[in-house]
Formats: sequence, C-alpha cells, structure tokens
Amino acid sequence: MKLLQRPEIIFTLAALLFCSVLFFIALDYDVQSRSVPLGVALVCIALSLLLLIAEFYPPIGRRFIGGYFGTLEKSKQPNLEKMPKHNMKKLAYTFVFILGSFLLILCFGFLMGGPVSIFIWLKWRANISWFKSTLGGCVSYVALLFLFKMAMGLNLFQGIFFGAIVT
Amino acid sequence: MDAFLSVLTALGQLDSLGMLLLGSSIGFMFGMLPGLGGTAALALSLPLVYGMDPDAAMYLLSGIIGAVACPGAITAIILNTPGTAVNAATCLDGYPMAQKGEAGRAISIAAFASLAGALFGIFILVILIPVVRTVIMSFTPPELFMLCAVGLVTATVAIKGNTIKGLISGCLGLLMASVGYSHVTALVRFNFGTDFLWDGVPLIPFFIGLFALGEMLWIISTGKETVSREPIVIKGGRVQGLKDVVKYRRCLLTSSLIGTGIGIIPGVGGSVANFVSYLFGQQFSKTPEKFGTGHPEGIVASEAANDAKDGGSLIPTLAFGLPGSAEMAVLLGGLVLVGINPGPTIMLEHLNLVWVIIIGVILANVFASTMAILLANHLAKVTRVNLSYLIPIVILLCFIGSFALRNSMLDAFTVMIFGLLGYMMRRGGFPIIPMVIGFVIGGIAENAFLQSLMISDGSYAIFFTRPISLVLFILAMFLLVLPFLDSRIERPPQTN
Repeated sequence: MKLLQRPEIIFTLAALLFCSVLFFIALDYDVQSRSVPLGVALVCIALSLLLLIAEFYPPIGRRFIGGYFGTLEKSKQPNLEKMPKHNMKKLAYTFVFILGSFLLILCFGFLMGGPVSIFIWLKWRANISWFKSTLGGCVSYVALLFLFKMAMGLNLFQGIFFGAIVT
Repeated sequence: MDAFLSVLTALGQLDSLGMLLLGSSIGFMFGMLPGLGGTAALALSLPLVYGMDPDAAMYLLSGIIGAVACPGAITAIILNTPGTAVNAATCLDGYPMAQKGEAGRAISIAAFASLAGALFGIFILVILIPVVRTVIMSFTPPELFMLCAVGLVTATVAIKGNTIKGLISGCLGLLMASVGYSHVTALVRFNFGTDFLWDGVPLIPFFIGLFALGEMLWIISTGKETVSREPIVIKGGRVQGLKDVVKYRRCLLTSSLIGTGIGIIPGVGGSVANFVSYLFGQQFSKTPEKFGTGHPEGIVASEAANDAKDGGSLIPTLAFGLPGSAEMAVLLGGLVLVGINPGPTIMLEHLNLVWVIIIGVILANVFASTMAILLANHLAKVTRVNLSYLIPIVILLCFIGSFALRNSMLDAFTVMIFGLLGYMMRRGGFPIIPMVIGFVIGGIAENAFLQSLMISDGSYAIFFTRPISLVLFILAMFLLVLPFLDSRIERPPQTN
C-alpha cells in the first residue's frame, strides 16, 4: 500500500489512465486523424506498464537508468542538485491558498480578489505585521489598477459577483 | 547582411530598445533571486508579447534569455545558493573566494567569463547560419519527421535518470499537442465536447503552469523561500577579475566550446553544461587540486559554459524549431503568439527575427555583465528579499498572465492544473523538458509524418529509403539504445 503512495507511481498511473482514455477516443477517428495519437498513446501505455513493473521490481528498474551526462559526482553538486525533503503540509496549505485565490478572483475580480489574497498570504503565511500586510495588499491594488489596467490596458476580470461572465 | 543591417537600424527605435532593456532587467532580477529561473521569467512574460510587433517581442524575450545567467553567479558567490540552476557549479569556487574576502573579484571573473562565453556561443551560431540554411533547404517532410524523433529521443536520454520516465514525458507532450483542431485532417480531436480545447491545449497556461506555478509549489514544499541574513561585503577586484579571465583563456575557450556543444543538444540545459565544463576544466587544469577551494579557473569554467550554451541552443531552435532547452521552448511559444509558426521556415523566411534574437542576446549579456561588475555591491541586497513575500505576487501574475491572452478564467484555472502537473512530475522524477519539447514539436512532427505518407501513397518505406532520413532514424535508435549498453558495461558484477 505504501508503494502506491509514491509520487512516481501515482503519476505513472495517471499517465496510464490519460493515455488509455485518449487511445479509446482515438479509435473513433478516421485513419489519418488517429494514426499518430493512437501510436503515441500505445507506446505510452506500454512504457507506463513497464515503469510500473520496474517500480515494483527494482532490479528491472535499474536497467533503465541511463543518460549521457550522468557522471557527475554527487558530492560535487551543491545543495540545489540534491533531492530535498518535502513538507506536504506546507504544500497542501499552499495549494488551498492558490485555489482560494482563484475563487476570490473568480468571485470578486482581479482588482479586489488579488490584493485580498496577497494580504492573506502576507499576514498568515509570511507572518508579517498587520500594517505591512495591509500595505502589501494596497500596493498590489495600486499596481493592478495603474500598471495592468491603465498602463497596459488589460481587460482584467471583474468577478462574477460584479456581473462578469466566465468564458 | 541586409537583414542584419535592417535589424541594427530598427534597434535605434525607442520601443525596441525599451523592450530589450525591460527584458534584460526582468531577466537580471529573476536570475538573481534563487528559485526564480529564466524559464519562469520567460513564461510570465509571454502574455506581454501577444499582439506585439514581432521584433519588439523578440527583443523582450531574448533580453530575458541573455541576462538571466550572469546575475545567478552573484547569488552563488555570496550565498552559496545558485540564482539559477545553471550557476550551480559556480558555488564550488565562488563561495570559498567570497569567504576569503574576494567576492568582488569572483563576481568580476563570473561577469567577464559569462560575457566572453556568450559572445563565443553567438559567434558559432552566426557562422553556422549559412550552413544551416543550406541544410534546411534539403529537408523534406520525411527528414523533418525523423529530425523531430532525434530531438525528442535526445532530450529524453541525455540527462542521467530513468529513460522510461523521460520517454513517457515526451509521449505525454506529443499527445497534448494532438488535442484540438488539426489543420491536416480538418478534425477537432480530444476536445471532450468543449469549445475550450478547440484550439488545443492553451499554450500560455501550459508554460506558466509548468514553469512558474510548478516552481512556486516546489520552493514552498522544500522550504527554500527563506534567505540567508549573512552580511554582504563586496569590495574591489574588478580589474583583477578581468586579468584572471585573460590568464585562464585556454579554460575560457574550452568551456565556451563545451557550453556551445552541449547547448546544441535538444533538451540539455545549462546546468549540465556548467558541471561538465567544470569537471573538464579541472581535469585539464595545471592546478586541479585548487578546484573547489576558491580557484578563479573554476568560476571561468562554469560561467563561460553556462552562457555559451545560449548560442548553441539557439541553433536547433531557430533552424528546425527543435527547442534546445526549456527556455528555448518558451521562446518558440513566444514566436507562435506573434504569429510565426516554429519550424524550419524561421531561418528561411524570418531571418531578420533571427538577427533580432542574436543582437538581443548579445546586448542583454553586455547589460547583465556590466550591471554585475559595476553594481554588484548594491544589487547583492536583492538576494536578501524573502521569497515568501514574492510567492503570492508570482501566483497572482500566473493568474493574470494566463487570463490576459484570451480573457478566459478557464485559462486561469488551467494554469493550476499544469502547476500541479509540473510539481508532481518533478516529485516523481519525470523530466519536464521532454514533455515541453514533445508539446512544441508535436504539431510539426505529425504534419511531417502525414505529408510523408501522402507523398509515398501510404508507404512507410519513405522514412527508410531516403539517405538523410535513414541516417537520422539510425541516429535516433542509436541514441536510444546507447545509454542502456553503457550502463550494462559499467555496472559492476553483482554479488548475492
């Protein structure tokens, strides 16, 4: 069960599912339209299955380790190259924040939702003072209004609560 | 020559110069801040180029490409944390030099070596343009299809890792490229009944999600948003830095050559170039034992290669539409946005744009090196900016950037999906570059494949009976199989 929680296996299963769906959809197309996607999807399905087998039986997996530029000594590589530890709690909170920001923008538009989401991040994630967080939000509002809307002429989304239509 | 002169004249216009300056400044800042690389800067700038004059757009993007590598060395030298991945090897000698009180000299070496490397890479590109144009003209659809296959296979197997994962990533990119309306078969494929996917997977959310939002998720989950509070003192050493670069000119030349050579290989980025060059420099140095202890030659080896790779990776990008690196893939995305289809036609029909990119990269390198030499002491304070303050701004920019092109909130939603995809791929050890290359070349490869079959009345023999196509096929197979043979030969006998 622990094996199924590994990111590489989750991603491989997702890739397998994605390719299988496209494979079956492609079967309905005419020969010209389906030849390339069908072939690529078939190869991808085969490779995904092979990778799953390799993940469950590491000796097989080691046979596929290759690469022309792989001789660098690990000790020679500074901290950037080492696989770091991941804080899943931080990641989950961040993704909730991103989703929340999207919903705020969707409901109230970029001009309202954007600064509010920046304020929320600065206050509760970056842990800075109320004053600085509010200032950060205000500065972002000014930047959105003058830089993006007025200077660049972008048609920023108004928010569904203010009558905008989602396209 | 005419194209070159017309581009030089156009550079005198205020908007071109302004765009170049803007691009260089964006590239410089993104290069200096650890974690925010050139690809993220390019992806976030893509929405700006939509509808822009192609020359101005290319000045903006080439400005970012040219200016991003050099400032990363400042962070590497001062904080022992590379500003971008391509400066990683600079830490090995740059940081020890800074600890000895020679940060100014180390930055000066990095700046001069970067500039010299970049000019060398561009010089190789310029002298190859006439040759490449001749080669392109001999290419027909079967050769083009096989070239795409070689590019994708190379990107998959070049970097050490699980080759199967690289191949899966490339296949996923190709499949994503087949979504939407096909101009060859006049059919809308895999759109799941929605109009949203009629034009295919949206380009900007794809790039912004994978490279900018995915990078933010990576930084947050690995806790890299915090910064060092070490006092930063950079004093003098500018002239000594130049003298060091001249002193180690042999290393400079070989590193530039290695950087350019590695840059030509599709999918292999500057991080590989600078490590290979560093190890090569150490191997052939008169004082290899000094490498890693604050030796100027180490910085020359690393920095010359990582800037020379830009010239190299522009060769397959501009000649065949095969991105030499992730940055080049985004550059091709920029070309699409200004109405130019990537592929062999760029160098034949849009030679002036090629010169715009070349001049843009050169001037951006001059800008970045000058800034690094003259203002390092002040700019170093930028490295103290806590990334956790910048993350929400980058996230907001991701949403604005993906929304702006089509005024579509669905695009803004899509950016989250690709952000998560980019993060998941990195966590699972799946390389992103083959997917991006597959996505960018997928349309060209499919068109070339179908056109080849039309020419041959449906016979697949066309791919194996034409000499160039056959050679490319053998090359693709050879590149695919060789790493496995290598690893089998190198693997020590296993004992139970």
